Amino acid sequence: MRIGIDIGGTFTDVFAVADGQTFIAKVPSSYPDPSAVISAAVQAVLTKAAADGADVAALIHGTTVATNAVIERDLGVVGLITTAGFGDVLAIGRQTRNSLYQLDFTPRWVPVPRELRAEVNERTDFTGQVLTAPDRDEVLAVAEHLISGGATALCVGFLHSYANDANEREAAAWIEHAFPDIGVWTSASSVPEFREYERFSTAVMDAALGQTMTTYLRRFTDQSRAAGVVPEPYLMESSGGVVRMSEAALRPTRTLLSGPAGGVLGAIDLAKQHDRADLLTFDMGGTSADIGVIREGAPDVVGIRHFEDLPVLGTTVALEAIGAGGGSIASIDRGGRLQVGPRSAGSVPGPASYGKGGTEATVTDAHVVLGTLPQAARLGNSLQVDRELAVEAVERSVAKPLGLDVISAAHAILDMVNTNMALAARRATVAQGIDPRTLTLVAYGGAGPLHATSLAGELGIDEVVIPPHPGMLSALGLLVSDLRKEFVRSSVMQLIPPNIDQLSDEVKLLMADALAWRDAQGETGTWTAGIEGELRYRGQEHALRTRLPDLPWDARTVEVVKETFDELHEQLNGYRVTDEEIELVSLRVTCAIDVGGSELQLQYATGSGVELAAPDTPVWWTSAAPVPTPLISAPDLHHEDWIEGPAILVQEDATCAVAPGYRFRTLAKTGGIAIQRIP
Amino acid sequence: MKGAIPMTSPGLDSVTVDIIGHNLVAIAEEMGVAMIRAAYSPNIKERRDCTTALLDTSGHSIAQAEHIPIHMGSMIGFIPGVVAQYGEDIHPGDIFISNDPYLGGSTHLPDVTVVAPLHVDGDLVGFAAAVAHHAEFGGSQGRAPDIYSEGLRLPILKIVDRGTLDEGLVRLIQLNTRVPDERLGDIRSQFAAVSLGVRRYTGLLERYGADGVLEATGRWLDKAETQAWAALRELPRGRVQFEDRMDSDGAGTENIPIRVAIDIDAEGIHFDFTGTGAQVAGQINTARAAVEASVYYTVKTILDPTLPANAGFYRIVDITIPHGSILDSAEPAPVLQRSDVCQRAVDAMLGAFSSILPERIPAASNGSISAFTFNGYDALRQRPFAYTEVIAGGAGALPTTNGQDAVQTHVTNTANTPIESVEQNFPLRITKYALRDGSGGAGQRRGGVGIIRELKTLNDGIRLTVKGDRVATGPWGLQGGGAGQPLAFVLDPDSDHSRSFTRADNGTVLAAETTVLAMTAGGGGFGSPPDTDSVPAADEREGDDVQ
Repeated sequence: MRIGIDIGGTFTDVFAVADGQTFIAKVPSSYPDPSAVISAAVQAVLTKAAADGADVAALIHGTTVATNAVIERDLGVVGLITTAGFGDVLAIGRQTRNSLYQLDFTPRWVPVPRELRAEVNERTDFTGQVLTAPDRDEVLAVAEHLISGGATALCVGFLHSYANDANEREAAAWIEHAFPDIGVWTSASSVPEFREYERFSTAVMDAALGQTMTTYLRRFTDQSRAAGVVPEPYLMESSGGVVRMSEAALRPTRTLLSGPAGGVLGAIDLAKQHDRADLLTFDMGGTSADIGVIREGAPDVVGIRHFEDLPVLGTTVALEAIGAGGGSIASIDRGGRLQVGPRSAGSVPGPASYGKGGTEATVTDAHVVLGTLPQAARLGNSLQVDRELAVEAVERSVAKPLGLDVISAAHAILDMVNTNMALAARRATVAQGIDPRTLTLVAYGGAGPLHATSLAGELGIDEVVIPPHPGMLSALGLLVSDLRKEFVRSSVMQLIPPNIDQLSDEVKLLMADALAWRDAQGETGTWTAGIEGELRYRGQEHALRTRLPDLPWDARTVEVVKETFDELHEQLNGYRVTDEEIELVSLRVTCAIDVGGSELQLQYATGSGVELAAPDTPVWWTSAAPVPTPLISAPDLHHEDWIEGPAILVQEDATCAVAPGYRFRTLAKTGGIAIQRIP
Repeated sequence: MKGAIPMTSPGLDSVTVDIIGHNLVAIAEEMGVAMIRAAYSPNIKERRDCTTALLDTSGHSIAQAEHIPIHMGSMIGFIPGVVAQYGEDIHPGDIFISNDPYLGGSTHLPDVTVVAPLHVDGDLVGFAAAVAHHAEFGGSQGRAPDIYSEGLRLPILKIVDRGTLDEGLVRLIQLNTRVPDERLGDIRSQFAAVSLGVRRYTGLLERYGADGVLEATGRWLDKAETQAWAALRELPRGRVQFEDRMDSDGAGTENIPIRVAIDIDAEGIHFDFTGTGAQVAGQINTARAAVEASVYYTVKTILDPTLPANAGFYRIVDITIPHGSILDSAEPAPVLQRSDVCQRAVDAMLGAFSSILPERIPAASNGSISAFTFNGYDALRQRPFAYTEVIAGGAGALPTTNGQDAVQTHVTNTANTPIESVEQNFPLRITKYALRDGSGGAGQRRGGVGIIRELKTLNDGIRLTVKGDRVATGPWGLQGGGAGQPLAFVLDPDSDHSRSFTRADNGTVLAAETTVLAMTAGGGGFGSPPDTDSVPAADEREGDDVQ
């Protein structure tokens, strides 16, 4: 049996698979220690499966612990030791402000204050040559000073350590030996990439999260043991691969998008069962929506993300985030423009229709007014919405100021939020040279299925897939991922025949590291390793991640790589440069071990089939008049022939709206729902 | 699109107008993304010194992607020039180019503007535009007495005629610039951006209909005007004035007054720069469009930072600038370093507003776009090189908080170049990059501190050029707050031959192993400083990175 556990703010979702059969459990999350419910959550799903802990082959976890710690600034006190002359790199950042026109703009976040930043004499140049080696006494003196100043973790960040981290490692070793109780991070071991501010920032965040993460993962492991689970649990990283928990504690920043990455993998797996590999993933919750692009079954990735305005390097699933969710508030600004989001009513006070004290109109309230969230249906948590409160809020916030009737005002709110999301989706597709009409939309999260056909319509997408448990897709995604690790070497080199032997040697070293890692894992699954390089034309700063041929390399490899890069540059940037040399900025070996994810053949539980309900719920699909619409229980639906909309499909964790002009059917293989524009 | 817009009896509902408006903004933004992605040089790609916009046929902005405020409205003069010059000879598939500040093409020669026409049923309705700051565009590597010596001047030219590139013009540009492939790569990125703008605009017409888009455009601008009026009504009416100064033009003129009087009344808001000093021999003169952009920046900042960057709100603004002054110079005055004067114009306007909005206006910020540029031959990599670093300074203190340290303010927001990137690419070694302690003006709230950036040349024959003002007197404080430290450049500090370097020394050739130190200005303080004896309360110190 394999178990995926995704912990969110409100619920902890558990998704288990045993012999193809799936079992799910949902328990309230615990606070402040989210690991406290793990044993109970695992027990809950084991009980459903009539299994016990000894049957568990793998336990995989998606977490928001690091993300929440960053947002809440619940961080360890880090001391930074850096190259003399450069102690303020972290304070200067990239010297930009985050808001162009605000005189009282928010100051940049400096994660290590001046008194905890120290300098030592040492220097390496950009070729990796050591110009000045660090002095042991000096390093230990500043380390002691920082520790006595309150630092609970130390980070060593030296210039050009991506090219040669000998000085960093030496200094760290001295400190570890002298102060065995203090955690020590080095910038090159966090992420060996050039650009000192971004690298230091990443390493400092790893150090700042280290203690929280170590404690949390230990508790998690204790809890899983208490439930009888023997293997060491895995943790999902932002890249979409998993690592062992013991390793995850060393690089907490790599889990900052752990949960969303799980959702994307879940969407990929679900679509694969229906032979779809080019997708637009659309995860819409209460306050925000994440939109991602999948091509040939693999998510687009980026090398840098900002969290709370702080840069963090590392391979991350590319997601376009927008402040649009069910709780997004609608208002009219001073120019008479309708604004929807990014301000959100959150879960407290929540949408007006929840009757918890919210008075401003939200996206959810617009749905309640129009009937797409019918009063008769009970939402997750058995919440019943109050249409009168929704009407009141939409009337006051939008209808009156714009001189509209309440139905038109509710449509206006939805038109606006759908436009905003469609524009975000266009940034993720059209702006990257991808035609959204070639993609299948996979809609999940609590609000995704409500907006799926509208978003698809805006983008010209004809086909939508809704997973069987739209609110639990992240937990499912945990089950299908590979054990994954990247090995990177950075230093600028010309891609010319005389250098090919040296480049080839660098790749061999990375491969050796990768093989050693593989052997240490004790896994028997299929192993793959791919070589990538970050390449650019000489004179460019920005480099493109390019797939490189497998070893062995010879002089002809230069031509092959140049052609690949030229093509990629032309595809992305519109031109190639024939008479300029190509520079290699970094080499990367990405390896993966299949730890059982590919063998999952899920037999999703599907409904036994029900008579379709009578169309008796009024829904204002347009402003003109309500259309009587059937209310269907999605889990009970088992209908493989197309059914014409309109319909409202209701289930525990999400409601799905199928507008007139669309048809839908059950997907027998997965229990999901397919929606299509009627040709 | 002016004139084509029915201003009465609107046929579209308000929300459709908003949705089309959002789409117009998204087109401008996507153009920006396309340009940055396709750009060759770090100046555009990393520092994002570029702007994209959709404009109407009078050159007014309909939608603009916001990267750099000084580019706002800087394309105003270009479009009427294109229309006047080419008239009926403007076709789909054409692209026009110019960089000349005296023809409205930009505000100094390295800013190259490229536009492509937008048509509806064969009628010209506007343009898609892309401005990019090229790393260099020919000209002298030191001082220049006039615009001719500041670089290659491009009049308004058709560079692509119905899809066919004018190869001769490209060769002319490449012959006159020092890194021709990089120029071509960056110009191509501008072509890519404007062509994309045309395609997306055509798509919008297909979706909403030409009449719908044109009507929505007009009403989208009207909404910005409405929003600006609502904010303006909250300001007290009357006249406020302020005078600030430029310290030096580097060519013999000092203490140049920058004077503004601002009238707020039922007609709108009027900025009058009468009393400002005459144009000068140095390279700090300004084309009018750059000052207009600085005024729009200030208006948006003061009235409502959420005002969309379009010409709708420009309608409540009226600007008077005496021609022949340093803020509206006559040809052929040199203008390369005009942005320091733009920052000073903003300082003067904010200074004027501080008398009626004392609770919102900060003390003066560093007041320059401070920079140094190194040109020469790289002996190690065996190629010519050009490296410019714009160095931020301290922000002025606010009534409630200390000024932010080390940050770009007002009309610019470009990023720094990573140290590791500089050393990978140029014959330079950076020896220090630090906050400039003690450079913020004293006060109840202290000014933000400036930056120290120090580097060493690794081979002979490297020319140095510097830029920035506030070199004699630091940025002013408010309500008794002290001034920040002034900007300074020093060669070989801490040696027996240490000397300061100013604009007047631009073009000096440095020997190998010369140390160049830049120390940018701190922001002014706010409120009288506490007694030196009394220790500030702990909560006042919180968030301070530097004491």
